[in-house]
Amino acid sequence: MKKLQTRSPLKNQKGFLTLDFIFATILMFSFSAILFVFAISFTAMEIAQYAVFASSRAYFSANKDPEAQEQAGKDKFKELVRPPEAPLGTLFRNGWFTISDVQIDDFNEDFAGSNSDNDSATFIGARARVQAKILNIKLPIVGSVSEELGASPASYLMREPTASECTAFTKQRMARVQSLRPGFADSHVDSGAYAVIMDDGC
Amino acid sequence: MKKQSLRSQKGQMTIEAVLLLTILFSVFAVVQRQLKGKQFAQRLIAGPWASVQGMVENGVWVNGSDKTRHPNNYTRRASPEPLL
Repeated sequence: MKKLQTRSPLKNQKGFLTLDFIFATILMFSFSAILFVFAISFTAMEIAQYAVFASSRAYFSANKDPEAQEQAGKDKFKELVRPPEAPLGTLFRNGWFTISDVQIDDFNEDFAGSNSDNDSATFIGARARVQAKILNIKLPIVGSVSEELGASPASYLMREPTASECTAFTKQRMARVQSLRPGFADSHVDSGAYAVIMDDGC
Repeated sequence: MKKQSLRSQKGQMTIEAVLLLTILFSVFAVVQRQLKGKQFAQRLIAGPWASVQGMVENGVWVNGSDKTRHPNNYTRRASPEPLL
């Protein structure tokens, strides 16, 4: 038998398992890589989602004026993502993902065509663009992904009125009250004595 | 034996093995070219990602560019005199 195997090397099955193993390893590596990049991308999106939510929440809170609200939202986002010691920014510093600066605005125009006249269409808040470079992978046998993939997590919480807006609103209301009758605007009312008192907001 | 060398079957299996290897490599190359030509990896990853993008951006499992079905657009009704 040994002599036969020596004369017919093609009947020798040694090494077949190694070849099968190599082939299976390549395939398993490819599919494992796909699962890994999806899992890590979902994690990055979840982290970015939290960062924009926190930013939107900081923007939402009442402040002295709208600019201060916007700055509060941007500061919160930077605090969570940008510093080297910020744990939420780890995935966005290693080259696998990039995240843009947060954009705080009224995004209702982006959703035009839907029920934009609906009073619940309140797309005011924070948004950031996450680019998933890790998804541009090259896999053996099955090919590569060339398209730039990413998403823009957003949080639309609207915002509370600010002190400056409440003051302006109350002054406007006073002016309109004074315009109701001629007597309201002249000697009966001392405009300097009028003080805006806002009880629990506007 | 030396005079009738064409009747020798030595090396026949080697030639057959080379032929089989060539066919196998050809099939492998064709399959690989088909997979790359049809952008198999692209569709495997970018296809599902469009739905994920839709959920991340618009809150629904549809293509990310469709912004008309965001849950914020749902009509909400409330009664000013709720039943107690």
